[in-house]
Amino acid sequence: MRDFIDPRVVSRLSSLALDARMPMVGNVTGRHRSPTRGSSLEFAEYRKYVPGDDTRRLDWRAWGRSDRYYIKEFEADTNLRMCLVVDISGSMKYGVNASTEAGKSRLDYARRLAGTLAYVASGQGDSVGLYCAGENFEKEISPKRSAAHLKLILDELGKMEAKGMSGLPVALHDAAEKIQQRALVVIFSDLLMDPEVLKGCFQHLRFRKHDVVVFHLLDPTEVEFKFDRPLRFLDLEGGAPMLIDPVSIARQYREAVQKYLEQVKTVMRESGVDYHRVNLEENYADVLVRFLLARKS
Amino acid sequence: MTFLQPFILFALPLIALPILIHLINQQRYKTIPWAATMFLLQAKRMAKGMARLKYIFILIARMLAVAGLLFALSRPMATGWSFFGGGSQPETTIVILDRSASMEQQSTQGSPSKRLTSLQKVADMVNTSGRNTELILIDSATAKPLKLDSAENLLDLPQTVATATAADIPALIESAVEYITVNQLGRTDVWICSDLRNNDWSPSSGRWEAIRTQLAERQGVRFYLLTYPTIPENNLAISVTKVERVLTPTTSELRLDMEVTRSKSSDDSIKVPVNLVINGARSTIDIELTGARTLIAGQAIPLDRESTRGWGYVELPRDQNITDDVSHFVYSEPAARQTTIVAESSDIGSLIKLAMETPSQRGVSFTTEVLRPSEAAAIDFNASACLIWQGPLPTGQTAQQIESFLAMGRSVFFFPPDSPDDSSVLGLSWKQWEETDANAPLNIKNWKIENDLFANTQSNAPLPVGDITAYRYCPYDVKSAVTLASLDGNIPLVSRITTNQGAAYACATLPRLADSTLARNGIVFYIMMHRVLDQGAATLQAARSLTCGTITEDAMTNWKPVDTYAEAVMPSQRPYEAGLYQSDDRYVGLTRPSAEDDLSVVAKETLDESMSGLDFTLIDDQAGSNFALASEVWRFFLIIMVIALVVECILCIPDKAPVSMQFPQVRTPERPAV
Repeated sequence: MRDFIDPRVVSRLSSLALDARMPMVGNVTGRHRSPTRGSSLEFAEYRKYVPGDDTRRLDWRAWGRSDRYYIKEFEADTNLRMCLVVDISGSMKYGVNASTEAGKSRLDYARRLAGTLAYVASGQGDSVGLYCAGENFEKEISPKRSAAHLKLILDELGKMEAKGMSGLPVALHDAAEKIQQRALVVIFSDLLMDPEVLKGCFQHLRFRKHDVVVFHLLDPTEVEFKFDRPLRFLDLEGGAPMLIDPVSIARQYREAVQKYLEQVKTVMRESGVDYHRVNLEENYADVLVRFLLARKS
Repeated sequence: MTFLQPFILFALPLIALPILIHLINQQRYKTIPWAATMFLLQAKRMAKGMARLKYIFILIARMLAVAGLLFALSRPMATGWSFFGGGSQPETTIVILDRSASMEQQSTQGSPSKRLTSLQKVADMVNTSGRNTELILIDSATAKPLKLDSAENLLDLPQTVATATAADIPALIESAVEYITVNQLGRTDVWICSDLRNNDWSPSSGRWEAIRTQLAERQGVRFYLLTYPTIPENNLAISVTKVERVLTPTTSELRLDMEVTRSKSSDDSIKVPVNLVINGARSTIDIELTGARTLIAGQAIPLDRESTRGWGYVELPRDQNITDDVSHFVYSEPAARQTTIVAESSDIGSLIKLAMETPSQRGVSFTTEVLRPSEAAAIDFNASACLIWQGPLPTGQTAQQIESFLAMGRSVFFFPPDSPDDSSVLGLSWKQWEETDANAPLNIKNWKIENDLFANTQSNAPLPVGDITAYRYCPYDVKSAVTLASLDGNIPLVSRITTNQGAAYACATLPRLADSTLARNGIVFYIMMHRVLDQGAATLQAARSLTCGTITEDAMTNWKPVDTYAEAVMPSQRPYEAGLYQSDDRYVGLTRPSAEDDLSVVAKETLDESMSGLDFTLIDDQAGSNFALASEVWRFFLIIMVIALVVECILCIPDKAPVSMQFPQVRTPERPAV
């Protein structure tokens, strides 16, 4: 067990399953609906018999009642392919006391969420893959459903470091193309970019029939901007540092944040993305519980 | 504005403290890693203008607060009129004090007079404002600059006490300007304390132009006019305009012409008791007043037949100005008016003889004696009241005799000779004759209307002096003189030569038709010559009436006061106070100038015109008022400080957050369509 996976949290989540919001295409039987008919216990529909159909699936009772041949079809249950996309740009390093206290950065938070979700999904027999989105795809691990694969993913999660400019839009477009079958794409990012750019990415993913989940990780200090003395802001993505008196621009800053959050929310709603805005000060277990429960409804 | 604790102003650089703190704060920044740079950039763009302006206002408010505190601690002294424009402290403060009789008016009986109020205020202003300046007093009676050791002296000096004189404000300003010029003074404040009476200010006088010209090139002279133009409501003034001793077959009587002036005209008739004191005998009559001015003509008072000379005064009940409640007079038999004319030209001698022998008073003989300059030794100086001299200036014994003649109080009038030479007498010498352009002869441009030869008549009508034209003139040099009339181009035409006693005049032209229109427009010439004669004749009479301020203290050495008014006056101030005196066997009455009863005040527009181009501030005040010329104004600066702090607080209030300061949560999303 890695240090970013808390057994108590895993235990708490054990009673909750990760459900897909749409039929998934898996390669083995699982707990998720499939777009095809299968042999599960759940009745789907009747259809007329056509020559060549397996006569074992004829509903003899229906024949007795109607003197016609009907084939009884059942839903197919399959596993899902969960692709974890973690933004590892420099801005993911941010977090209060992130520089002095380990485990407080945005990336750490994303690591916890992604690792725990991977553990949960793997536990219910789903395939898990990992994509680290730096300036480009830093690491690509295709979804598989083995314990060894989970270990590999957790190892990678543990090793990843935040640095450089954000290449999330490019990475998402790439992911949309590379993930062949419909999958659950879970994105962990601060999304600090133009929401209109993101819109294209999400629509691309949705066009490829992926179920998209976004964990928007924000620190309260970024939103509230409560500073009372001049500060030198050092851009984590390599931009020029800025000497600013926060008091003089606080109102404008908050207006800009509010406008951005509204835009993001609109983009997510219009793109059909399962959007979760996450406060980094919140317990990640609560976030996951809320997420899993929401997908059940 | 001045400061009682000026050393605190050394701390004024502390005003820059907020800027310094701001700069230090800017340097004491903390570096933090930041992810949401995009919001910072947007906010900076949005806040570019207003935030910067707001910050500048905050800094200004803080600087104002510090400045306000420092100024308040330094205890500034200022007044309403000089609060912002008071400027720097003057090197010299000249106080021009109008000591005319009208300045003794009070707002209410018993309160300080205008003169006393103005003195008190100027003294307080100099004291409380802590001015470290040289203080010079020029009073209207002596017209001499007097250096004062301290402002308190203004209230103690004999040169600031009440007088019954008139003031010549233009002359006093000229005296101040001369003092400034001679002593090469730098920043100078000139305070003029006056009641703005027309007769004192002579706004139509040509001397104002000369003052403006002199001061035009001089920087740093600022005038403060502390004025008291308010006319009291119920003040009455009395003056005796004519005294005549009339002989009847059995007895003799004194006939007085009196004038009573009321400060505010009213149709209501009031009765006023008037005390008449003749040679110490007191009687009272009631006179009825209507309108602004009442004339009582020929008030007869019986006299002993043997009483050929005497003195007296008329008194009104005391009111808001006690100086004009009394008028003194003396009487005697009129003396013969003997004039000696010394003329080198017979036609000039004839013209002057004609003017001098034409009587101006009933019952008085006017005689003349015409001599050639070479016959000067034959002049009867004892019998003559007046000497008219036209010819080369006398020298030697004759010159000494003329000086003695003047010392007896007689008068001398000099006309230029046909051929001027280098001789001089009384500091007077003639230059060569100058012709004027035949097409543009010179007219009299300026003349003194307040007193002396060209003064207005008793009814205040001006003489037609401006009609006099000079076709040729003989300029003169004189050591010390007052110009009474001058031609175009400021060429002196008639001057009064300064003498201790008597009256000496010089005229730059002759009454001949070829020289001037003096004789052709004979009125001015006649009045001028008779006024010269009157001055000389006054000393021949057994009683002589003089206007206060026209005689020196030296001339009064042997005079003895005969009435209670004169007795109460200190000797040095007797020339300026009304009173009755006895000199040998003659009575002399010093009287208030009649012009002082004229209540007209210089209009503001006229004053602005007279003082146009000069840096002056008009401060209207009232006798006995509590308005202070200087007071501590630290409260004002304290209020500025408080206001600045309040403004700073308001500006520093953080803006209301446009959105909740709490982290904005997002609702669990709806399940998308499958």
